[in-house]
This record gives sequence, C-alpha cells and structure tokens, in this order.
Amino acid sequence: MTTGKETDNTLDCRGSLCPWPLVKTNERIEKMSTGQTLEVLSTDPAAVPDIQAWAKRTGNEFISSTKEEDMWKIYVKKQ
Amino acid sequence: MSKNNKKKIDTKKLVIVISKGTLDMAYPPLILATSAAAMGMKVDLYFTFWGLDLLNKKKIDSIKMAPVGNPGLPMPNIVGMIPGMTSIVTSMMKRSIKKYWPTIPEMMKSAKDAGVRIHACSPTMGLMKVDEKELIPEVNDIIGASTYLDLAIDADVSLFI
Repeated sequence: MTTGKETDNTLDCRGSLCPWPLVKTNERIEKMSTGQTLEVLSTDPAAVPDIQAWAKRTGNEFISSTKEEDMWKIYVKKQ
Repeated sequence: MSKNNKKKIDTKKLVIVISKGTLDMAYPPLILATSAAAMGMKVDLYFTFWGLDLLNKKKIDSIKMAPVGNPGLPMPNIVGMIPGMTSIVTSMMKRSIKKYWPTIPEMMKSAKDAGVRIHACSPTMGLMKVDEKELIPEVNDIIGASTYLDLAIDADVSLFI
C-alpha cells in the first residue's frame, strides 16, 4: 500500500500494484482544484498506461511521465 | 487551461458476473470494479453460485485457494489432493497477496465506497440456503436473472468470471 512521505502535490504509490496507483490518484485529484498538478510516484509498470487511460476517460490531463531507475514520476493536471 | 478540456464524458457501464468463490477468482473482478469506478464508470457486480460466498458474512473472511485443478500452481495435482493442502496453499497465496492488496472484505468495502453496486443472486440464495441476514452490509439488493440482463443490455463492458 501507499508508503513514504507525501506532500500536497505528490502521491507516493511506490511498492503498490494495480489498481492502487490509479485509485489513489483518482481520490487525490477529486480533492484538488482545477488546474492543479499532481505528481504520482510509482514502481508499477502499469501505472503510466493506466493513469493515461484514466485521464482520457475522466477528462483530466496526463502531462508527462519520466522514469528514474525503477520508479516512474507521473504528472497529471486536474481539469 | 481552456474550457474545451473540461468536456463532459458519457458515463460508461461495466457489469460483471462473479460465479466463483476462490481467491484467484475474487480479486480480478474486485480490481476491475475499483479501477472502473475510479475511471468514472458505473459498475454493477452480480454474485451468483459460489460467487455468493464473497457476500456471505460467515464465508468472506475465509475465502480459499483451490490446490487441485489449477495447473498454474507449482505442485502436481496429486499433491494438492493431500488433506490440508487447501489451507497451506491458501495461506501461501494470502501471504503474497498481502504485500500488494487488501483482503477480500477490505476490497469489497473500497469498491462499495467508490460507488460500485453489489447485487446478490436470488436463486443462488435459495439453492444454497442463504438468508438475507447472512449477507454483508455492502450488498445493495437481491436480484434475479432478468434484472441482471436489464443491466447487461445497457453495459459497455460485460464480463463473466
């Protein structure tokens, strides 16, 4: 499950598997204001395509993703 | 940001029939259901036959993994037939699952909290002598085949597990 430090704009999903990066991203985005950006940290290879699909279906914006060693940093903007 | 980005997307619908009451058959529909709800889909789960065990207060905490008839497990079927193997395989599986996912009752609760609708199959309740009072509180209602079909006719994705 979600572990580690988190800030208002960062969601740490390292170590958790599908569907949690997606479910937690959705929960967090729902509490944010339009235009705010969320950084999601995940070690699940499915997180990038899953969050892209989620963004497409929910109307939120997938900004980018970068990979650092075994971790992906995913940026989404609330719409 | 432009206003065009904030387009309203039609609500898509997912309906899943859950007919099995083992760990490996319980997690996939619950994972799909919670994901679909997070994606803004309307989700209906119809629990029938052994799937009803997942809604039974007395059984939901002790959902097992079948060691026989599952060639994916790292043991011959004949070993799976030894008395006690079901609990051994179940606790091995639960230990692995625990690292990544909550338990079945917790998954059921998060699905419900996310707006997933949970339906119990009426004929199964009759067949297996399950009373309404024995069902977990997450159950929305008890329905039959035609109500399920009515939901499935309008579904964008319909699965039988």
